[in-house]
Amino acid sequence: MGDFIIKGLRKTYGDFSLEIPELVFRRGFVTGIVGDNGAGKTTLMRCMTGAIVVDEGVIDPGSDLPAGVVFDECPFPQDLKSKQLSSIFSSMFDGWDDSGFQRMLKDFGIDESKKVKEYSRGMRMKAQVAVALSHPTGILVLDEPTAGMDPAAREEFLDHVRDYMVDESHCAVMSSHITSDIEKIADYVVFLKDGKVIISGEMSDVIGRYGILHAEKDSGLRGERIVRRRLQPHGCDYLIDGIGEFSADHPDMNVDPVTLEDLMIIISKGEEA
Amino acid sequence: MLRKELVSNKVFLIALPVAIILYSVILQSGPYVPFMFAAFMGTALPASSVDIDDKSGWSRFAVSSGISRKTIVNSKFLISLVSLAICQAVAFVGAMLIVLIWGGELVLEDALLVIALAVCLGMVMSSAALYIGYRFKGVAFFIVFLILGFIVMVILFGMQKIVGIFSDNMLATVAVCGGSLLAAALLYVLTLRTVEFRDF
Repeated sequence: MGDFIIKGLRKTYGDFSLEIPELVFRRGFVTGIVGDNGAGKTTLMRCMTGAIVVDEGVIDPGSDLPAGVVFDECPFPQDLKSKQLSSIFSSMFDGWDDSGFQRMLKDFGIDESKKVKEYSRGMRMKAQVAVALSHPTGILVLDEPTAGMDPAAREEFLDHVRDYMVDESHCAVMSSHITSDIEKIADYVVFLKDGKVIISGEMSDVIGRYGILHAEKDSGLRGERIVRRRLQPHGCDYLIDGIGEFSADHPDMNVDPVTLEDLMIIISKGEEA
Repeated sequence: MLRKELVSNKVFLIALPVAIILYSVILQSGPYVPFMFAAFMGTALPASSVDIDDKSGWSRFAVSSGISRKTIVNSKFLISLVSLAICQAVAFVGAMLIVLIWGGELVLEDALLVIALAVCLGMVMSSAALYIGYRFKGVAFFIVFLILGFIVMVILFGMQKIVGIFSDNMLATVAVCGGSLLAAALLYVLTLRTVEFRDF
C-alpha cells in the first residue's frame, strides 16, 4: 500500500474554491486537518472519499481498500438495532467482522436492544467508529468525530484510533475544532484557510517552529519571520515563523511557544503582517 | 445494499399493501382500479428513499465507504421493482376482494392486461421518481409523488375506457408496454449518469 496522495485538486462551489496543489497522507501516521468554519476541511475529506466529484486533480488512495468514515452526523437508518446494522454492513463490506463490531459496541456501552434513534450523540459517533473499524480499510477519514462527546468519551475514542494505528499500513485523517484532540493524536497537521493550505508539516515541527510575540500595541513590527498579526483590544499578537532564529536575532523580545489553538486563532482571525 | 433498502423501507413495504387493500375494499372502485392505484402507491417508496438517504447522509456514507455509485442506483431500482411487484400482488388480492364483497366480474385476460399496463406505468413512474430525486437535490418527495400521482389519477378516471381500448387492440398494448419499458430504461441510464457526477 502506498501513501494517500492528492495532486492538483480543485473543487469550486460558487465563490468558494478548494485548491490543493499537493498533499500526502503518509501510512502509519495520523494527519489532523484544522481550520475555521468554511475553510474547506469537510470538502477536502469528502473529495478524498469520493463523495464529492472533483473539478480537477488526481486523488490516489494508494490502496484498493475502502475508506472507513466517521461523519459529524450519524448516517445509519434510525429504526435499526445493532444486529440489523451488522446484517446490512456484512452485505456491504468484504471482510466484515461481526464479532469485532458487536464487541466494540459492548465496549462502548451501546445497548444492542436500542435503535439508532435512541442513541445519544456520543453513542452515534461511537457506532460510526465501530463500523469504520470493523471492516478492512485503506484509510480512516474522521470528520469532526469528537464533536458533542464528553472528555472521557473523546479520550476513549482517541484510544481506538491509536489501536487502529498500531498497524503501520493504516492511515488516518481527522478534522476537529477541538484542537487539543488533534494535538494528542496527530503526527502531521494541515491548516486550511479559504480553501488553501496555509501550513502543513509534522506536528512537532509546526508547533516548534512557530511562536507568538505579544505586544501592547501594533508597533509596526515587520520582518520576514513575522508572518501574521492579530490586533486585539489589549494589544497585538505577532505570529513568528522560526522562533529560534527570531529569538537569536532579537534576544530582547520574549516569544512564547504556540499551541495548535493559538495557531488556529491567529491564522483564522489575524491578517498577513 | 438491497438488504439495507429492504430493512430500512420495511414500514413502506407493509404500509403500501395495507393502503391498497383498504382503497380497494372501501371505495368499491371496480376490480381493475386497484392495479393502477398500486402502480401509483408503489412509486412512494422510490420517491421518498432518495430524499431520506440524502438527509440522513446514508448516500454519502455509502459512496465514501467504497460502494460504487452504480450499485447505489441499482439497489434503488431493484427495491422499486420489489415494491411494484408486492403492490401488484396485493392489488390482485384487492381486486378479488372487490369481486367477493361488492360483486362484479374479474376477467382474467383483462386483469392481465391491466397488470401489464400498471407494471409498465409503475416502472416508468418509479424510474422518473428516482431520476428526479437524484437530479434535483432536496426536492421534497411528496412533490414528486403528487405530480406522478396526478398522472395516475388521470388514468384512473379513464380506467374503463382504457380497458376497453387495450383489450381490443393488442398492438396498442404492446406499443404502450414497449414504450414504457424503453422510457424506464432511458431514465435508468439518465439516473446513472446523474449520480456519476453528483456530489453527496
